[in-house]
Amino acid sequence: MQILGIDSSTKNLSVGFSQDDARYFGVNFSKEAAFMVNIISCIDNVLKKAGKSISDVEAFSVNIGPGDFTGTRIGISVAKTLALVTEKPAYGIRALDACAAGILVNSAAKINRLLQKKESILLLPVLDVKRNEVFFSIYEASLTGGDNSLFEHKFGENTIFISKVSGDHLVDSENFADELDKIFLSEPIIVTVGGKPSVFVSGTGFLNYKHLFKDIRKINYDFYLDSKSANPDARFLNICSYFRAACEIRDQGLNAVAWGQPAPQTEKPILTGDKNVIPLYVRDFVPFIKKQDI
Amino acid sequence: MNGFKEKNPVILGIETSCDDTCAAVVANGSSILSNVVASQPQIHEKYGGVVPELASRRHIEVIGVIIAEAILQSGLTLDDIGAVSVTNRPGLVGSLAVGVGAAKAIAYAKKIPFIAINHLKAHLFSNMLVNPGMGGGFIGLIVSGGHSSLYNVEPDWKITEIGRTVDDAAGEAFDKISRFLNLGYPGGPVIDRLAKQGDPSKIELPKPMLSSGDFNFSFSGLKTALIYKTKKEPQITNPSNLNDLVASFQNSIVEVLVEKTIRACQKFGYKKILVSGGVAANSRLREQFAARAGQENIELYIPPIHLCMDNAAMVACLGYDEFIKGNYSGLGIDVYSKSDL
Repeated sequence: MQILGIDSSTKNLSVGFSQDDARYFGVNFSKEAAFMVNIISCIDNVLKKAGKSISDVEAFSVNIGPGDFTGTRIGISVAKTLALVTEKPAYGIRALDACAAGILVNSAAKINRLLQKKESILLLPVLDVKRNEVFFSIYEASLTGGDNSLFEHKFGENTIFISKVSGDHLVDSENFADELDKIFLSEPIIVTVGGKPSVFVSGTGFLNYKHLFKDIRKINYDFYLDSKSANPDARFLNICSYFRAACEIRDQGLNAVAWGQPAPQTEKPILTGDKNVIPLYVRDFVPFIKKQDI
Repeated sequence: MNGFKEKNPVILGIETSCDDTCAAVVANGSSILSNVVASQPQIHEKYGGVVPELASRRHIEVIGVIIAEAILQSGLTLDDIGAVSVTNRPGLVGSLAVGVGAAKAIAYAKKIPFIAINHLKAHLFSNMLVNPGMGGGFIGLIVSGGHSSLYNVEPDWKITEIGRTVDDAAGEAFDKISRFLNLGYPGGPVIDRLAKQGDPSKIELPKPMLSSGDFNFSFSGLKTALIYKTKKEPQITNPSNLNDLVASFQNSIVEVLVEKTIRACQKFGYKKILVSGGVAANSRLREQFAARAGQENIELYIPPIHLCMDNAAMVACLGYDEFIKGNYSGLGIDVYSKSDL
């Protein structure tokens, strides 16, 4: 299943085409505020790199945020319209899920090694959502998938599955470590098979608030900072989208296909994706009204 | 990208410059096959004016549905579309981005020409939908919530702005006074309705810039004058006087717009006036323009109300004109909050 991903939710534009988990063709563009100018040429470039055309794309994936308002909307508008025109599904991927996929990919060797030793592995993507607040969820890695698995990644002979094990949390960055400690204690998230969990952390939260990583050290878990996954990459979106597409195929009683294989051809298109991809906001927008401004 | 000129020149237009999400399919530059508009008044109502971030949030929710609906209503399919045109200037950047992103995606995926359009020029073109092939050589007035400008449209369609509001747009003044008097949003239609029961000569309000000697407008001072008057004479906002008050207010705006447009037309030696934009829906404005143009022996063109308001048919109409001239835009074009004609 060939997937085209667009991530314009931060200052970095990332567009990428995945033939499967390993065969990925991407471009990253970090010039600020030029998404509207560059987005189509980036798409065209990655398709050319892959030797494909837009009609070869079987599904589109896009980061729905939370992220920069206009940037996120440009990506969504382009992705969902491409899906509409080519009659293919579009998957809106939450920024936290994409970041968790990034952590998994970038730390796969270490995560795999620890899982082999039957240790508990948690992933903790933390986004800077401005106003001095951070937004995060907690994910768990395991070698066996389940109904609540969000995505998977192959490493050597193994497949590592990720599921989300907490709600979404929006907290003041100053209170982050305290809140996290409370969540670890209160939410029934951790199945500690052996010893204390290892927590792999990343995201713009850690990038922009340097004190966060220092603060969480007081919690008695092993923390690993992955600085590579803070910048969104379309490859991570595609990993999430593939899994959702595979689930749709499975839910219709059809045989799951390996990522490298085309989606099964049926009379009716088999993949529906998200009916309407819309941005994810962490807060309602409340306009500021000047008193004299009648 | 060869061979598209031989295709049926059906244009898909997309317009998201302010608070209306619009898509339309137009054949041969004037035959409207569909013209879909999703407005958002209830979203902006409590703020008394368009809130850009909220407008943009709504656009991204509905853009796909609106485009699909416009195609469906046209009875055609996307394969029948020869080119896509979209407003990329001037307007709210976050709103424009949604429409332009969608239009680029369509043009890229269908390999059809992409044409970026100036919103104001599209308003001047809107009358082509009812009078195809209308030549230049007229004064154009675009009057809406975001614009109040006069244009010299020369016979060859060379367009020069000859005047504009120096502060609030006329529609903005309607909205603000409506909010001040707690009449609701959008202000124009409410004031228009109440003014019909009022006497526009009963309460004296200034007619700003009527004798300024240029073709600019100013409506902020009129707004302040009305507010000041209500402070001094609170009884004029009583239910028995309210209709007279809004009728006077509306009349001041209308008279300045009409007289300055007529003067511009005479100064530049034309015999035609075109009025477009949301405020062109105002019944008093239409009546006064008809009366004065008649007296001065000037031909008056005001498109039907749904084509005066923001719509994508006018974008497709102008897009068609650019299409047959081969004036295509690159897919790298940006969006702009400000742009002169």
